[in-house]
Amino acid sequence: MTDAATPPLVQADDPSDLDLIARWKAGDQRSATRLVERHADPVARFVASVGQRVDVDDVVQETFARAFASLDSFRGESSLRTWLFTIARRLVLDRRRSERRRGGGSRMQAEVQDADAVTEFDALDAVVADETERRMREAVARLTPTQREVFTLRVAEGLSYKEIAAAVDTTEGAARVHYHNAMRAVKEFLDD
Amino acid sequence: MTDCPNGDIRDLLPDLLNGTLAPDQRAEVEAHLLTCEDCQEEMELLRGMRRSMHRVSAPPVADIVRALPAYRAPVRRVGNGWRIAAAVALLAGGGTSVVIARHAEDRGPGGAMAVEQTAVIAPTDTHLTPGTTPASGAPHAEPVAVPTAPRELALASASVGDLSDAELDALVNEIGTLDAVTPPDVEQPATVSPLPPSTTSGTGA
Repeated sequence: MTDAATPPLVQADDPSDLDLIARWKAGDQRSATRLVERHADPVARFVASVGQRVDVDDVVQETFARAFASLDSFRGESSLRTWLFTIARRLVLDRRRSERRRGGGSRMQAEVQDADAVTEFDALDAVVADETERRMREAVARLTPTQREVFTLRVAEGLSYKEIAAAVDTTEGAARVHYHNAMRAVKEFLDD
Repeated sequence: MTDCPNGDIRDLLPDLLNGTLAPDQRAEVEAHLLTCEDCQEEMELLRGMRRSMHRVSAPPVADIVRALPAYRAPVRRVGNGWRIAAAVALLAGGGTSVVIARHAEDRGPGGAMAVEQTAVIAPTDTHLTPGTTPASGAPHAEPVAVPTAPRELALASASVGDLSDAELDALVNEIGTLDAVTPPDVEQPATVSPLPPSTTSGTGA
């Protein structure tokens, strides 16, 4: 099982996130680079999964800018990565809302737009050669927004239900239910 | 694709996938996988899902770092806060004592006596004020009244909550006339003359 042996992104001898934050506050810009290198990919994956209609790079950049502007309020009660997911999620939701306002969005229109995510997701197919993978992406895209967030954080990032609950502003129990409902929906879609 | 009836193990499959299980849990889940076809299928599905979700182009780290704000330490105003709090306390304490002292004076000699009696404390070498000997006359703990100004007595024993509406109005009016700290080279303001009884007792808010 090679995936199970995937090494963690932070090696044992690496400085912790809190150490790097302290060094950055002391004027060490390389620590900021290391923090971005450490967390940019997971944040980008999360944004790509939950916010198909947003410019991923743009949201990732703004996520880090906002996080670094308010690092004094980060107490380390959750992991830095979970905190970044929280910020990224808010940015995606804000952009969705403003997009809906611009379009004079009713609730029905908003739901239609969410359903349309599948169509827009097809744009990524150019880089997905494998038909099975394409089907898997489509299955994820058909989930409800909350199911998609929870499923992505659980499967792609390996977050615990507690961490997911903090990131998406829900309870551990609700996160578990969302995950299992998402898994059932994915299986049903792939079995069709 | 069917679900394994062992929900606890299914719950741990994403953790096994991401390498976040403790060694003993990992051994337990791997042992289960050897004999459970449903979990093997689900694990294979999770592996494919994870692979597809990881297929996202890497964000431009250099651009992100360049756009980061410079660190600015938060500005702390602890000193000013203490000065403001001290000034408010001084104003409130001074104003309260003035009004309560007047209230005691308005009640006449009996009222003033009642206020003075609140300052009875344990025996000391302080001179005993005539007329303050307790009626009980306990020989072992003869209380001694400390001669203290009515204003200070009132401050020590009364609270703003005990004041009437008229007294509170007078207190608020007087606070506006007080200076928190009077510089030594500034002429002292004229003593505030006591309000007539009609002002303090007959005007409800």
